[in-house]
Amino acid sequence: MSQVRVAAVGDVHFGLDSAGRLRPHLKALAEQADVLLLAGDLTKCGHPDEARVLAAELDPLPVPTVAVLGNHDYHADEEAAVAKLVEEVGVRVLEGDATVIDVGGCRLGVAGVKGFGGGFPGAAGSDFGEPEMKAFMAHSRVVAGRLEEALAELEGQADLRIALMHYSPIESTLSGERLGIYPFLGSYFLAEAVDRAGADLVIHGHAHSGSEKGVTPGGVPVRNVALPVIKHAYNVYELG
Amino acid sequence: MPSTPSDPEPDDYLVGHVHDALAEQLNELDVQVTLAAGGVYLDGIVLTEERRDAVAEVVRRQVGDRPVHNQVTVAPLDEPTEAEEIT
Repeated sequence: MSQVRVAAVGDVHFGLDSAGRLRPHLKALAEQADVLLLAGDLTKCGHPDEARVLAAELDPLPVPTVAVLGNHDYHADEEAAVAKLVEEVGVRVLEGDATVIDVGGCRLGVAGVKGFGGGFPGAAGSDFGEPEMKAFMAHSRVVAGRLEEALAELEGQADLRIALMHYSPIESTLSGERLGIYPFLGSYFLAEAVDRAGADLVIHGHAHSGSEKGVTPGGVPVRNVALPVIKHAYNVYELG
Repeated sequence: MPSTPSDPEPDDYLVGHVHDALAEQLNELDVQVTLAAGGVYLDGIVLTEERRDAVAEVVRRQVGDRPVHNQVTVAPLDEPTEAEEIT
């Protein structure tokens, strides 16, 4: 099985002022990587006009590109339009599903989900109390369940599996953030889903003041690729 | 316990209101705001110079005559020089 080079970045937060921010780097990206993963927060406030700027920036795609949406992409209640606009230039947008990309004979599977908050063991919310709290935790469980199913579906169909999400599955890639906001930055349900279904790498964003590297309790490497964390247009990870 | 409204507003609330203003007016959720004797200190990373300046402007409107120290930086956007091998 040949090595797969994965470029990844999250939180590009494209706005109407962002044209020309990524385009100059896409030629180098095509030389350095086989696929590009976008870990959510494609836009600043989820407006379709922002997604149009990003779509124009990425067109033509330098390499096969897979994305998930982030919380910013939901802010204007136009998340479906945001996804459609980038899909029109060939980006595959995942939410609880998966895709397989042939990279030189290696089948790279990517399962994607936005994810959600909820917290981490010993400091997590519970399915208890007011309906709003139950709804918050229920959403966290539902999206983690979708991720587990999508990863499980890749079993046997892919040689390598990546779990792509916006929110963090673990605490260690949040290191540098204020402790009090951890429950809004991720959920251990996501890590449990990854460890149960299996994966070779987790890519996430969202935690701008966090840290790049971590690992799930089950031993799966985790990389926080939020742009302010990696301080590059993208990072490249070699798998296989 | 005071039974009359406090004037001026306690600092504890001001930081929260600054965060709200940044989220509502600029969709910037990742700027850290600290009040100190010398004024208001802003930290974090945004994506453009214009967004950095806009953050300071919104904060100035919230904090009156307190000095605003804008330590927010702009994210560099160069290409990585090496790849990491995941093992």
